[in-house]
Amino acid sequence: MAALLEIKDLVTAFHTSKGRLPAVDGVSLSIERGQTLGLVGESGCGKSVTAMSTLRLVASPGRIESGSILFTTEGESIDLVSASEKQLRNVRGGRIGMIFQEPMTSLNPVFTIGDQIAEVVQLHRRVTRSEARTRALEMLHLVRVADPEQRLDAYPHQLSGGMRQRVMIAIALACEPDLIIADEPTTALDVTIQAQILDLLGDLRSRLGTAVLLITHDLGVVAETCDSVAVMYAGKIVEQASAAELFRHPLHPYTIGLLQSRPDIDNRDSGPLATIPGMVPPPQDFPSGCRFHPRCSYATVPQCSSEAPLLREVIPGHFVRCHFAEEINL
Amino acid sequence: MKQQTNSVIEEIDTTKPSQGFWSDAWQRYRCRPIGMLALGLVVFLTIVALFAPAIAGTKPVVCQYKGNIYFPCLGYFNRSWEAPIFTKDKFRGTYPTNLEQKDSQSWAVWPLIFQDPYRRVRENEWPGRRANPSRDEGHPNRFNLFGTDQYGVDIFAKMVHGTTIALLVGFVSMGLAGSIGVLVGAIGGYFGGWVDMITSRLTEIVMCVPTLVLILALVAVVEKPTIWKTMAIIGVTGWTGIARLTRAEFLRLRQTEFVMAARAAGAGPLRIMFRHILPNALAPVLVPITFGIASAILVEGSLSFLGFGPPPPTASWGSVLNSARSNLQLWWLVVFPGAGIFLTVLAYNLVGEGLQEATDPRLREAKK
Repeated sequence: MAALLEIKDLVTAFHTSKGRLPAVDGVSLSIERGQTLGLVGESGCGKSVTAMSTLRLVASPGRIESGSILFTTEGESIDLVSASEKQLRNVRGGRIGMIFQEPMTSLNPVFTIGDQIAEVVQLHRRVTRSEARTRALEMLHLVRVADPEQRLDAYPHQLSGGMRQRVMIAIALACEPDLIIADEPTTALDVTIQAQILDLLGDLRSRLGTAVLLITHDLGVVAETCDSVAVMYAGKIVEQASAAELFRHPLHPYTIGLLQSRPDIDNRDSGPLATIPGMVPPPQDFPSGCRFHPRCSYATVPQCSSEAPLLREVIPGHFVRCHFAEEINL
Repeated sequence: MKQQTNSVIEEIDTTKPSQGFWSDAWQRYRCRPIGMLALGLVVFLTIVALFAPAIAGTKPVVCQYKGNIYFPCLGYFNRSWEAPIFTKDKFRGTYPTNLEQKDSQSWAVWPLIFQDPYRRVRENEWPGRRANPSRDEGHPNRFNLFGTDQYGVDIFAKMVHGTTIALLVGFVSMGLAGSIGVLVGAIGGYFGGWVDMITSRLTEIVMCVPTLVLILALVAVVEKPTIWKTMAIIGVTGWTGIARLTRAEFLRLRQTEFVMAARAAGAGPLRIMFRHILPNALAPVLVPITFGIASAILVEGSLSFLGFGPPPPTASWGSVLNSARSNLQLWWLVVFPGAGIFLTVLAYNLVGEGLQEATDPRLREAKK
């Protein structure tokens, strides 16, 4: 059976006065039914654009230039890249739900949250207003909002950030989608609320069997919730493996750097945290060869700056984009 | 400890919910005495406009005639709303004597002031009252509060009935202008690109033409001017400011996360424009509409004054001013309608300004 979502060689570029900026440059991902895939990377490496491209929500001047996004549900496959606007509208919110980074601004300030949950139900199901409202109440129960009967008629500004993110989750899940794309769902929340929201997502996932594409820069979140992980750098996937494998054997220097730059609770006296020098280059000045080589501590040979490495399966199920993957593996 | 946290939670839950946008704006608006005064005047004018035939007229508000109850005063709003029986019985618009003569059992409730906005009240029409004075004798007096014009038609009655027309002009033409402006601005602002290019240029072209000249040109083309055509003309020329503001609001709001979230939920462009963005853009758009009502009343006044307004029987404030043009010695023909237009326009402008200050947080900060 085909994977639920199969992204192949996706290229999304922005056409600006600085020229063509490929924010996503040949990304391939696949998500199985019920699975959680973590997409990790620093700010500006193309994670969110990948997510937006999946639902064709990239705003002008951005454009999907090539690649395919095959979404298979109920025995039917649709290529979201070439799908009509009408087909897309059915998929958006109906088959694929999306949770955004900013719960504070992602809800419309002039409608009650009950209306907003009911709206998505009415858009995708043939239901009456009162049925949609009942469904909205059900969803608020499901995402564990306190006093759902009263909250139904509350306006977004009357709720806290955590509450609003729960409402966003309720909206994303209201039509029982096959896939949820969560674009840094916990970034804007404080740590205790983060944990609650992640617990909730994990719980709902196992209860409803929804697959999740979790976009985050927080490796801790990935370790807790994901089945497999893809690490993105400068518009490309640099490493992909199951979560357990990736944390045990990181093979790409970038992944290693990311893992080392996290505090280690068992070893508090290990001195200052390691950092990766420099920043993610903006698309207009991607370096030649391996895009990570200017920041890489392993890049010693000229090959790194001249020849772009390919994504290779170094260990079965473990893909790495590095010339030295084998040496690092030793 | 457990007990304590519970009580804290309860305390938070029982606090009353914070206010919505409009009730918050109302709280702010209420604190401005001038704004409230202006709003009071607007409400007063609206009441006068709605009950004009009951305030001044020669047709009974309610009457019983040959066993039936009628409301002849509605004939002032629309000819056909006056029961046909009065035409059949040859009342010819004179009710007091006819009612008495043709049915001794009849009774009637009369308007507060027995004067007609369209014709001179004749001798003994109201038992024992002289005919309306005309020309130089038409000073304001006991029966003609604001005097009479050169034909002896009561100015107070004209003013009262003119209120209906003034407000109708304001609301209908601004309703039209608002609809066109919001539609054009919404389409341009939401779709952007070449669509925006076209709508913006269209707006600018309409804006470039001096409104009064354009209106006069249109009036010249339109056959048989009526008050409705005047409203339509004011409406189709007065939408540019609203279109620009709406466009700006849409340009800003279409970038917001909640619009992206609505798209991600599968909403189509029309739904996003009118259900998600428009309610958020309404407050800033409402302000120019309020100002627009004032300017529409003013434009209608100028048109009627220049003689391009609705034809004579229509009792608009501007046409009273127009009749003063050839009778400048009759000062009451200038003062009362002039004051009426001035106060109404002032009231609407003050309401608009108050609304602006109550809804625009930036302006609020600047005042502090």
